Amino acid sequence: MSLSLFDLSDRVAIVTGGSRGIGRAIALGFADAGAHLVIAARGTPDMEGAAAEVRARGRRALSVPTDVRRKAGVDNLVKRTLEEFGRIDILVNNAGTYVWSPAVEMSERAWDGMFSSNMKSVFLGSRAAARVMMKQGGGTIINISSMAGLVPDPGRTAYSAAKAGVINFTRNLAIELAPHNIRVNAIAPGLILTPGIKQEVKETRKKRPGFRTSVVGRVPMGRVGMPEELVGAAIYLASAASAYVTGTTLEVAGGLTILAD
Amino acid sequence: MGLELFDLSDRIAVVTGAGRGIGKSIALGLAEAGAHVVVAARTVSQIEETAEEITRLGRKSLAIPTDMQYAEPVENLISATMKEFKRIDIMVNNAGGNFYRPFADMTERAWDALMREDLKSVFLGTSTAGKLMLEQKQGSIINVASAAGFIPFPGMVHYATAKAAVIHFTRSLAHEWAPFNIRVNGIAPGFIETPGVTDFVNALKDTRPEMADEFMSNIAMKRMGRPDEIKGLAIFLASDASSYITGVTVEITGGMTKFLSGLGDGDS
Repeated sequence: MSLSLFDLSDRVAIVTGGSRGIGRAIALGFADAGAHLVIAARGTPDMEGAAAEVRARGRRALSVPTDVRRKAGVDNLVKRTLEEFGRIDILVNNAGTYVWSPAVEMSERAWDGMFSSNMKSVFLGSRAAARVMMKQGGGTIINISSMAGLVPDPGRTAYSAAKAGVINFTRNLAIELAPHNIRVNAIAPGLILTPGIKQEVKETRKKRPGFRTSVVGRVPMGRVGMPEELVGAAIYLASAASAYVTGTTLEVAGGLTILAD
Repeated sequence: MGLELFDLSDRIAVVTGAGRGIGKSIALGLAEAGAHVVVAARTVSQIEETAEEITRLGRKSLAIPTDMQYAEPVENLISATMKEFKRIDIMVNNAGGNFYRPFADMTERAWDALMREDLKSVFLGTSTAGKLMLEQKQGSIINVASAAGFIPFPGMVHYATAKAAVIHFTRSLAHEWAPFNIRVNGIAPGFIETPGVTDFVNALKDTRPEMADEFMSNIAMKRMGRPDEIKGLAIFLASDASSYITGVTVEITGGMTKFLSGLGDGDS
């Protein structure tokens, strides 16, 4: 049997927000597929734990405390990666945050915060990594968007708008970077059981009994997804298996077509 | 190295239109990932060749001459598969066809023929294999659509319409069959160097070179794809690596944003 198409042996990958949830699952999945990892996050103990798990799989790992909303933070992440590994083959822009807030109640500050963490972070990360990849002669960038970027998610308008921005940013950047042999794609997860979502469901259930059932009821597969179920899509998009794919957004959502009601 | 997620060892797959081009490449890709593959198409010599290559990879194969446009041969394909392998894990509806014709010249007969070849074949393959998957409570169906199903394709309105239908068929059926543990997804290739597309592009270079240039400029990667570049996507969608994916059609176009414009108003 040959699955060499999906092999990431000795590729160097950066995963932002790699300390937990979807980012951690992708980082460990890449390590399983053979890659060395740079884990970027805001400097929690979780980050070193993720790096240790990568090392336990026999790959090299580096953890770099990073605020992806700031140019200085992102530049330092790339600099540390180059010092340690000398190249960047894969960048996963996964870090992001969300808040629940109807648009009319939202402060300008909260709106700007949503766009800094979900959209500007993707711009800063992509720009810094692409400059390195252009010199190297190639690379692949994966942006983690959301189903909220494709379908309405009332109550999370700012998040939804920023994630839609990520999708068309991906499409544009793919065209700009194709001559440099850099592929740019996105993943749009649906309801994935991350620590953040777990917490949100728990809190909402206190106010609205039956909330969980109504959420899961919108998913044709009848269940939420696990962070590990993003791994296949990320390996596919990072590897030679998707050599002719760029500018696309891959939905991993159990068939979901509407988020909230 | 752990790539078990993509492992298809001992899964049973049926691939239609497997005698050449994209279908042949998908059949070989699934076999490389470990599956046993039943290959179907109209031309016997071509599917026998594909089956032989699969056997050389160490998997089992069966070549069943099939015209996917009619119920009887499709039923024969599925019953022959069941007789040999007792189950169907993966159904790839790839068979289809295309021709260039400005809409003003389209006849009802040619329209019906195209819908039969590109859409009814998907219905027949899916419903026949799907009945068994419903009993098994497990399966993965992959429909090969086209980027023409997303992007307008002047001069091929019939084809674009049929492929858009395949994409929405995929989405709708995915919802209907999600409770039964059957995933339904699509692949939307752009310009892939299959024998048919290569002939089309070569003819264009001779007759309207400016259109051939425009055609390439609409692809971010500035090249056509190769049939073997579809393998990875087919393995991904067939395997547990896509366990939470259903109803989607994944583009594989090198970053194509539009087809040719103005093709329809020339003579060809």
